[in-house]
Amino acid sequence: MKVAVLTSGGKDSLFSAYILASQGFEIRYMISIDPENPESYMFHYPNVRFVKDQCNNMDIQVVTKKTKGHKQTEIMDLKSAINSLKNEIDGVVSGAISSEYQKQRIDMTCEELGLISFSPIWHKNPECLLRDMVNAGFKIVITSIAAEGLGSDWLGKIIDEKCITDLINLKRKYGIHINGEGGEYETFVLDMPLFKKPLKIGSANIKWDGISGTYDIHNLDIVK
Amino acid sequence: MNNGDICIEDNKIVDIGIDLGKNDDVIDCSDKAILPGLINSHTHVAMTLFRGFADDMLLQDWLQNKIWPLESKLTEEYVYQGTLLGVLELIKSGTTTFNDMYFFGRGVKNAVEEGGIRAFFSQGVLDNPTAEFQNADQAFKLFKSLLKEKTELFIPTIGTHSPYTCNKETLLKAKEIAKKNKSMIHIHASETRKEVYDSIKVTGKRPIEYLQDIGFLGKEILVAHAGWTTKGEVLLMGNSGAKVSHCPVSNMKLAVGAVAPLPEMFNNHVTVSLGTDSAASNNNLDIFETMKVATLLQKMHRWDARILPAQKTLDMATIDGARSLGMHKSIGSIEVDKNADLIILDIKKPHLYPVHNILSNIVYSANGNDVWGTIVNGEIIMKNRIITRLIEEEVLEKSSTAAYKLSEEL
Repeated sequence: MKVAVLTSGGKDSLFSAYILASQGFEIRYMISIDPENPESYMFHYPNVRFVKDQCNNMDIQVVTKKTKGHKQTEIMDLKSAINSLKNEIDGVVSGAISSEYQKQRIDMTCEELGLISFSPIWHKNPECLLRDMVNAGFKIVITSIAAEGLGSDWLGKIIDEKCITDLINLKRKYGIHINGEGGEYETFVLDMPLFKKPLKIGSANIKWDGISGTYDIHNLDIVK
Repeated sequence: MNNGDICIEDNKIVDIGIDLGKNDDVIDCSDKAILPGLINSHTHVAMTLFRGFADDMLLQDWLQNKIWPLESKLTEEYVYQGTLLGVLELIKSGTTTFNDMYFFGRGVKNAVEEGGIRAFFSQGVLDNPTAEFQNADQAFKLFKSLLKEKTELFIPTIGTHSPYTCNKETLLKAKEIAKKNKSMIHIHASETRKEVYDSIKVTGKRPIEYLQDIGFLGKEILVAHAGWTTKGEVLLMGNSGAKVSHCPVSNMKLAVGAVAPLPEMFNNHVTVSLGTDSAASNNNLDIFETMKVATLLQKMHRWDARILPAQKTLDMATIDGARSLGMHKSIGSIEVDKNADLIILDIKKPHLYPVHNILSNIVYSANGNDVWGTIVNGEIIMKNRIITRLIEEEVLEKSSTAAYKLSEEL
């Protein structure tokens, strides 16, 4: 089964790719949608330009599509990106966990193009997923936050066991989604089992407005 | 309970206890387990005639080029023969009540009465012509006519086929007729991806949202499948009291691509029961197998072995099945004053030994062939795997002759 993975460089899409690669799927392409609008309904914004570094590190070709990030047009941009690959793939992989808005649109786009939509982490327990990612060797950095209980000290944090415990406590207190699927936080993957070498952040800049913030990566290095 | 007795008088359980004394007719159940009869809440029994006729095909190709052309040739006699074969299989695999959705109800009724099983028959209703009727109004007339022949073991209901084969007017008319006759309504919805996408294109809503929007959902509605349902749709079903028949084997065989969100349904108080769907898409009517697949599928899908425990799985095949048919006060569990719908499982078998936990053995190790006896409404209709009312060889021969003849008509 040959697939293209929709990715923003974050943990959910790359973990989905890893899960399917572990079950014999061939990851042919990564598709990265780059929204000009930071309030995009579907696609994650921060640090998407570094997806190509992740893909180079896996010897997987990346297809990047710019979108204005408006509700009506971004799905068309996604469809056009998938359509350009449709003769070379059997299906499309997404990292949806519980966002029906996101999953339904990807499912429908695939159906229209005669492709199979795979969501290997759909409906999985969020706590179990985060632990599996960490246990599988994922090094995940938090690159943006926008939720009550998440202060600026979370920006640039690497997700580890303590971090998972803190997120569970925040879920109890504020009801956040442990995996950040409600936009509570975004991530970028610095290492995972499909990478040839780990990536390392050269420099980054924290922006914080008192409620939300971003951790903007300036440059990435490959660990020698 | 270990080593207990169950006393049955006429069609009722009248006592449960230890050493209840001598009775007229005693069944020695040493090395056996007695369970409530299993309930198959979504099936098309007469389609046993199509078993193995077409498999391993894409869903639309399978329906359009194989199943629907065969169904267009159906007659009451074919339905009778297919149902009789199915009734034989159901009794032998421990089902005491089934909820059918099909055509030619008199053929179903005759087979059901010969076999002695309990059946709900949902008169199929579609806007387009079928082998039995030309339009939905004619189907409603057939339902009303069947209703006059209702018995304790044959209960006619309405089977509006789906939101994509019945228009809004038909669905609402069905609801009105059901209300007037205190009947339930059985409908397919949210089974396949295509159905959901088509619904969004045509109505702007997902199927369950659409059914709610037009005022169709309600406590009398049993939705078969409901695999492609969002959390919002699950909430709509929970709030309206609509029930779900989950058919995991058929869903997997037809590769529908979704695993029904059972934990979310339970959290929203949706009653979920189990169905085999037809023998064309399963390809058997064994609820033991469906129980096992249902729990394994949820465990596998959610990466959580705790997600659907053995007790809840058995409940789905018994008391929740009864609840989905509005029969929980009379069947679905072994209780005094309930109807005696029971099955006796032979547990002295290698694959059911040892008995650390009988519940575990029932759900994870048993299959329909382990059923030793079947009792419906107080009548023993199978004992020591011998069917009391039917001649098994004859049913097999006549039904297979009918099946081959029907396939040659294509």
